[in-house]
Amino acid sequence: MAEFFAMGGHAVWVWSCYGLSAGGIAFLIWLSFRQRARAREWQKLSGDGQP
Amino acid sequence: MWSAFANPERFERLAARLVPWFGWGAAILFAIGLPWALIISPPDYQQGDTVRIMYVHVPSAWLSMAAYAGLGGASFVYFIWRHNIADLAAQALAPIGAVFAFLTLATGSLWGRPMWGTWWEWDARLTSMLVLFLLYLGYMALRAAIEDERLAARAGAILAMAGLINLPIIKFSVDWWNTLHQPASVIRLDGPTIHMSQLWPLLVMALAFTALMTALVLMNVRNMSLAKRAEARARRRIEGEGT
Repeated sequence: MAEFFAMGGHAVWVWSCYGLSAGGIAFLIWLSFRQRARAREWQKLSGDGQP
Repeated sequence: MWSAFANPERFERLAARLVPWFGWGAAILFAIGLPWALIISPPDYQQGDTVRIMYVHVPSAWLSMAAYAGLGGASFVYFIWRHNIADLAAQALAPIGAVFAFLTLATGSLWGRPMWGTWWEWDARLTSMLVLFLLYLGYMALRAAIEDERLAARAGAILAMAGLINLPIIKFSVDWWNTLHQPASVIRLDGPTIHMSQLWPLLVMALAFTALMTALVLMNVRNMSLAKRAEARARRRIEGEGT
């Protein structure tokens, strides 16, 4: 297991890349859910149901 | 055929059906692709385990370019036919493409430091990718800076279409100029030069990224469309109550 995380001595570079990518994807998902919440707000204000 | 999707309600219904398919598809593909990329695929004989950076760097690069092609295409459709869904698609693609362009630059830099001995080099591929990232930021800043929505959409569409010229420059930069960045090894006329043990996990990861981006774009366009129509109804109602 330690060998896997060590990535042949390149752990810092490899895991930084995967961490950044996970962060970027999480940010995009958060943006999408914020957009959905905004749509629901407008639907409530207009007297419609949920999207 | 395409004009059928210009109807917001029809598009919203279709997007609501497609989002779970693409979302779950992305989750399944990531569940297959990540262990393949991180554990099963062998280290490179020269790069060692840093080759695993390729499995997030290359899909990010492809998608940042695909998102810009979509942004340019949607802008063209909006500019010519004034389809609102096309404008919403352009707006939805911009932040997603910007994040993928940023990830391409950041992961490339993190690979370059141990392999090239430098975080950054002003070579044609890296510079044209930086231009792509700046085009995304410029597009979003331009739209945010103009209050009139129609004018913002038209100005954004012109910028997005003009920026399309950068896509072939990125793709062929490694052939046209003498660059530090390695030449194409997957999308080539004479077939990929990358070994199958690395090509398959790369393709699975690229499919996972593509499915995720498709789900996010569809979800965002649908929600923006719903919000826009609901906002118009809410304003009409408030104005009606005021008179």
